[in-house]
Amino acid sequence: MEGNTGIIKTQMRAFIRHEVFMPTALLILMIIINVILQPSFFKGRIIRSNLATFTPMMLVSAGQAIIILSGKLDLSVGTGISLINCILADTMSDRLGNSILAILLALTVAVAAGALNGFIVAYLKLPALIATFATSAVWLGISLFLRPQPGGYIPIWVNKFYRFHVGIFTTSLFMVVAMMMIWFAVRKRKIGRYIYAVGSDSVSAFESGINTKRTILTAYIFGWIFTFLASFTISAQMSSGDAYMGVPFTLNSVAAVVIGGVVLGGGRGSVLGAVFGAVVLSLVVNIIYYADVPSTFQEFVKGAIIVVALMLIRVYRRR
Amino acid sequence: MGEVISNPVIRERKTFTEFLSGSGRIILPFILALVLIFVGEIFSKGFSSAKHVLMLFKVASFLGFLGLAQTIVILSGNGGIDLSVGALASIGTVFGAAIIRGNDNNLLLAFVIVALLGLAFGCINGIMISYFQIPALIMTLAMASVVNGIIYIFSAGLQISGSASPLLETLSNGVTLGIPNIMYIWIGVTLVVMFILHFTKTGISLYGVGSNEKAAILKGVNVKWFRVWVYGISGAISTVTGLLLLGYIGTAFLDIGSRYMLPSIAAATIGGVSIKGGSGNYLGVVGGAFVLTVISAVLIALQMGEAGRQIVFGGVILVLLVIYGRETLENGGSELSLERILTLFGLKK
Repeated sequence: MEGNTGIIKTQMRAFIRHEVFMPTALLILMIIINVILQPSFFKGRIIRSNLATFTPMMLVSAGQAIIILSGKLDLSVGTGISLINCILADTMSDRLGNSILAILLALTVAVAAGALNGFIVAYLKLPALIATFATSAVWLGISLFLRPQPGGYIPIWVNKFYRFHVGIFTTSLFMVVAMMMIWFAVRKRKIGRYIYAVGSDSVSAFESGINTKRTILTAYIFGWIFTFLASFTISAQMSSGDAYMGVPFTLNSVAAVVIGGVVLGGGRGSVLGAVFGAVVLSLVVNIIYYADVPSTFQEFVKGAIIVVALMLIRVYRRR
Repeated sequence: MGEVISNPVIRERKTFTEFLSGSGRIILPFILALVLIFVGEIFSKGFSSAKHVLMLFKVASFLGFLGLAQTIVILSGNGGIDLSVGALASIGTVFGAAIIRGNDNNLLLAFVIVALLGLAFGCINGIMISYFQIPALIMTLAMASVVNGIIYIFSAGLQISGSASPLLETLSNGVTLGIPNIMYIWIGVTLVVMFILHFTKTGISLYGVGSNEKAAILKGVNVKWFRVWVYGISGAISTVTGLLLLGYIGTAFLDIGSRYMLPSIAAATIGGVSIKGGSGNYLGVVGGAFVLTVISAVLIALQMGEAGRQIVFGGVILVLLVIYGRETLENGGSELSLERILTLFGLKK
C-alpha cells in the first residue's frame, strides 16, 4: 500500500511538472469562466463558430512555437499572413483549376518567405528579432503593392469548404488536428529532435554533429507552412484581401507561445502547449466580451490577464 | 626583415577591423546619412540645404530619445527589450495634453507627473521581468497593451482634448540662432548620457550587468533591482518624449507613439548596440535614428508609395545589419571579407 501511494505520488508530480500541465489548467479555467458567462458555450453552433474563429491563431501560434523551439523568433508571421492573404485574394477565381494554382502559388511564396527568414537568421547570423522585423516591413510592402486597398476576391466555395462540418467536427478542427499529428510525427523523427537540441544548446548540438543552420532553416519552413494554413483559414472567413489584416497576429502569436509554456530562447516546451495558449488568448477576448466589460476597458483587461497568467506560470514553475 | 614586411599588413588589417568594431560603428551611420542626403538632393532640390538637414535632425530627435530608452534596456542584457516605449510615449502625449490644457503654468507639473507615470510603468515592467522572470519581450508587449487600454479608458471617459502650451511648442518646434531648440536638448541629453554611461559607476555597472551578470553580482551590484531602475528610467524617458512630441504636433492623438516602437529598436541596432546586451554606444544610436529619418525622407522625396517605402525600409535595415551589425553575430564576428561571403554561400570551405 505504502509503495503504491508513493508511485501515485511520483506520477502525480510528473503529471503536474509536465510542460503541457499549466497551459491545460489555464485552458480549463478559461473555459469554466467562459461557460459561466456564456451558458450556451457548449452548443454545437457556438463550438463550431469558436473553432472557426480560433483556428488561425492556433495555427500561427503552432508555427511560431516551432521557430521559437529552435531558439529563434519570427516577428514577420503577421505581415506574412497578410501577404499570403493578398496573393490568394488577387489570384483566385471561380474556376477550380485557377484556384488550386493560386493556392499552390501562395504556399510556394510562404515556404520561400520562411526559407528567406531562416537563411538570414541561420546563415547570415543576423539577430532574429530585428532581422525578421525588417522582413516584416518587406512583406507588408509587397502586400500593399498587391492590394493598396482592401478587396479582391476569394471564391465562395472556399468559405463553404471551411464551414463544412459533421456535428462539431469542422474542417477547421480537422486542419488543426491533422497538422498537430503531422508535427508529432516530425517531432519523433531526427529533424524534430534536432530542433529541440539546437534550441536548447546550439553549441553542443553543433559539436555533436548536427547541422544547426539547416535545422533552423527547416524550423522556419515548418513554421511558415503553419502560417500559410493560418492565412488560408482567415482568407476563407474574410473572403477578401487586406494588407494590414495580419499585423496583430505577430505579437499575439508570441504571447500565445509563452502562455503555452514554451521558453523564449528555445529548446523547452511543446507545440501543443502553444496551441492551448492560443485558445486561452482567444477565450480571453470572448470572456471580456461576455463579461460586459465596457469596450474601452477591453485592451487593458487583456493585457492585465496576460501578465497575471504569466506570473502564475512563473510562480508555479519556481516551486 | 620578414617581420618588417609582414607587420604593416597585419597592422592594417587589425586597424580596419578595429575601425569597424570601434569608432566606425559611430561614424558609418553618419557617412551613410551624408550619402543619402546627397542622393535626396538629386531628386528633390533643397534636400541638402542646411535648413532641411536641420529639420531632419529635429524629426530624428524624437526617435533618438526613444532610441535612448530602448538602448539602456537592451544594454542591461538578459534579453532586454522594451516594446512599451511607443505606448508610453502615447500616454505621455495624452496625459500631458490633459494636464497642460494650453497653459504654460501647468507645464512643469505636466513634466513631473508624466515622468513619474513613465517611471512607475517602467518599474512595473522591471519588477515583473527581474523578480517574476517574465521574458522582457512579452512583459513589455503586455504593458503596451495595458497602457494603450488606459489611454482608451481615459480619453473615452473624460473626452479630453487638451493641447500643448506656447512654451512647450517653443521647446519642440522653435528655433534659436538658426538651430531648432530640440537640437540643443538632444545635444545636451547626448552629452549627459555619454558622461553617465562611460564615466560614472552607474554607467559602468550597466555595461557590466549586460555583458556579465555573474561578475556584476560578485562586484556587489544588485542586478535585479538595477534592472528595475533601468526599465523605470526607460519608461520615464519614453513618456517625457511623448510630452515633447505633443509640443511638436500641438494636439494629442491616441497612437502617436506606436509607430516609433519598432524603429526605436532598429535605431539602436543600426547604431551598433548589441541585441545581446552589454555593448554599444549612444552616439551610434544618434546616428541610427538620423539615418532612419533620412531614409524615410529620401523615399518621400522619391514620391514612393507606402508599399515601396516599406520594402526599401526593410531591405535597408537588413543591408545595414549585414554591413555593420557584425557585433551581434554569434561567432564574435569576422570582418565582411570576400572569403566570408564565399563561405556563406557555400562556395568555399
